[in-house]
Amino acid sequence: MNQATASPLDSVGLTVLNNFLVNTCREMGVAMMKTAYSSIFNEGLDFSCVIFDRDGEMVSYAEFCPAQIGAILYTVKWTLDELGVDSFKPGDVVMHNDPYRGGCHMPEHTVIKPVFFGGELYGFVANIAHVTEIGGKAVGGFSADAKEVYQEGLRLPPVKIIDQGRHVEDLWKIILTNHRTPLTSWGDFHAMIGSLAVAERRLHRALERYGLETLLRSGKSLMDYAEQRMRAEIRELPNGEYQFEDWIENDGVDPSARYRIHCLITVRDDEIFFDYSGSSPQARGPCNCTYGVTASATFNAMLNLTDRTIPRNSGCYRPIRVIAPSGSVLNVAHPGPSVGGNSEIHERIVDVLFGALSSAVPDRVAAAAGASSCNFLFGGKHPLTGEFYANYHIEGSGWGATLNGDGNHTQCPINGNCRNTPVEVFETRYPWVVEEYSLAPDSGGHGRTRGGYGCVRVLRVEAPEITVSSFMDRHATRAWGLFGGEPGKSGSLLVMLAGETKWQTFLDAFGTNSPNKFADIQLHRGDRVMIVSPGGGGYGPPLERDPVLVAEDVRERLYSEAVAGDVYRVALKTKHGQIAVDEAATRELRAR
Amino acid sequence: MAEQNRQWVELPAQLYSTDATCNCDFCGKRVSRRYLRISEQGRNFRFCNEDCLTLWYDYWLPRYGATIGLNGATS
Repeated sequence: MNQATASPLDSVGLTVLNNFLVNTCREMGVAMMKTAYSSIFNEGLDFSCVIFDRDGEMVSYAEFCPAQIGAILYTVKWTLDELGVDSFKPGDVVMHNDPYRGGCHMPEHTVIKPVFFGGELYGFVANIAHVTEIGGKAVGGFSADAKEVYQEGLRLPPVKIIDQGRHVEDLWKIILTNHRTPLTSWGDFHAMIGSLAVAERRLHRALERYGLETLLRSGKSLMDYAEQRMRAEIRELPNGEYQFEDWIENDGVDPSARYRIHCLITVRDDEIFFDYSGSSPQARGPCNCTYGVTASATFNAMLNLTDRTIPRNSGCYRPIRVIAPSGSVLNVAHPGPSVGGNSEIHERIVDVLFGALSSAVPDRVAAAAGASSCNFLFGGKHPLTGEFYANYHIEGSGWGATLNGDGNHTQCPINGNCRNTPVEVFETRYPWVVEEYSLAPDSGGHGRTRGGYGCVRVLRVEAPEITVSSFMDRHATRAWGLFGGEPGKSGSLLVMLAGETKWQTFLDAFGTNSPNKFADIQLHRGDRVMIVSPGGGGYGPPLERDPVLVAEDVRERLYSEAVAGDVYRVALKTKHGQIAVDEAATRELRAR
Repeated sequence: MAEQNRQWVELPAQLYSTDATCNCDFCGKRVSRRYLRISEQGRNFRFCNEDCLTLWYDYWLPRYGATIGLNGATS
């Protein structure tokens, strides 16, 4: 086809093309999952895969980890701006993990590869993924008491790690020498790079079929379509201003510091502004968010509140304006640390946005979630192999209830979408024994619909020594309920040293700055750690909960019969050996 | 908006200027290579692009201008 006269595909063709592009991104993710070395890749799926056109606009995205849904827009676009599109040659791969260049935090690395066809540039394939070990002060890259970025690991600006198909060996040596687990990093990086080759092959097929110009123009059409759909969704919201706030309880450096997350949302016809100017100034410790994190959280919330069939590309973000002043806790400025913002604060931002919009769209939002990934990092020499290992363990927490349903129990927070690492995999790879893994009793906020439950996990050290770090929140605050729903229970992190019988905080046992944000603590054989993740908030008054559901909750041992009577005012009886509602007594109780 | 006050400014590109970046005074995004500088009421402000500049006048200045001593009604 004459390139000048090439036109975009019709609506059916565009649908087929969009599905093809999304599936290509998904296939990238599957390739990474199957070939990576670390469990954060192949069990946690902590990555995102994208296709960009040559103008630096995102054409397609696969829904692996929403934490990166906004960041990847900027890690790719700003890299193209900084290096210049012309600097890319066939076979190049550029990598960076700079939190000030769009990244979420230092462990997350972006790789970008240009896709050429017939000597002309079509665009770029890229992914961003959480690399478990990046050097720095703490094993696993979570220096929870860091005061500057230089303590958080090896920072890479955008650099070519593969130049026209050849590894830049000097650079690889520098990177891998600075990681504690170089073989794992090598494997994970090559899983990322391999997935780019998968996407490149798929795109070549599409380019052969459609031609360069048709594919480019069709990509623009898909973006325009997504923009129209998002604008139509925003028009459904009542014009006006909405605001809400929540708090981060400490930053790992100053145990008494609290940080405000505030958003003023302005809906103006078919545009929406998310203005975080009222948030606290930048923290000394690493609870700061990068711009990429704040943008990701904003887009994540919007995509949860709008029609799920809107294509995820640059177009759908055009009507969404994010204002996050540099130097604030929601847009860290150099050299501020930021490792905890992505994992622990993203979900809190989403909660704030749901809270703000609860009056406008009460049927679409959720009460606050436990919203802690309960980041627990550890590493050391494995007693069976003598090899150094590192792992980033994330825990599920309870989700907030919605108008139509109870919150999920013990599920990775809304920023992660990450899968739970099975106990068997965990114990096989790392020298811990999981002594308990259960729902945290009565941890979900009561309500017409109930908050999800957090969990209790007890781990026992099975090695001479393990070094641990932690970055958790919602131990002093609670996930708020909505419209009369009650808050969920806080979480906790405790340790019982070998030979002792008492659980205590890490602050009491080791004198850390904070009970839940610390780095580099050595545990020894027989020491135990108890992680209790927070529960989600309830929605609506508990007295409006269907008594049949209350009976089911008691049968499931989520709470006691006493709670059913006191909080829900539901009387229960035993019928045919099963707990059932005593309807007459319940009517009487609820009438009081 | 005073056209004559606008100027595109390139950021330094020396090898040792590893963090020679700036952020947009409207949205907070990082500016990679060059920014749009304007002078308003005797003070300089930096933006990613024309779009952010327009929104700074339209959204930001009326709302927050007074907090930094600017007359929000100026355009």
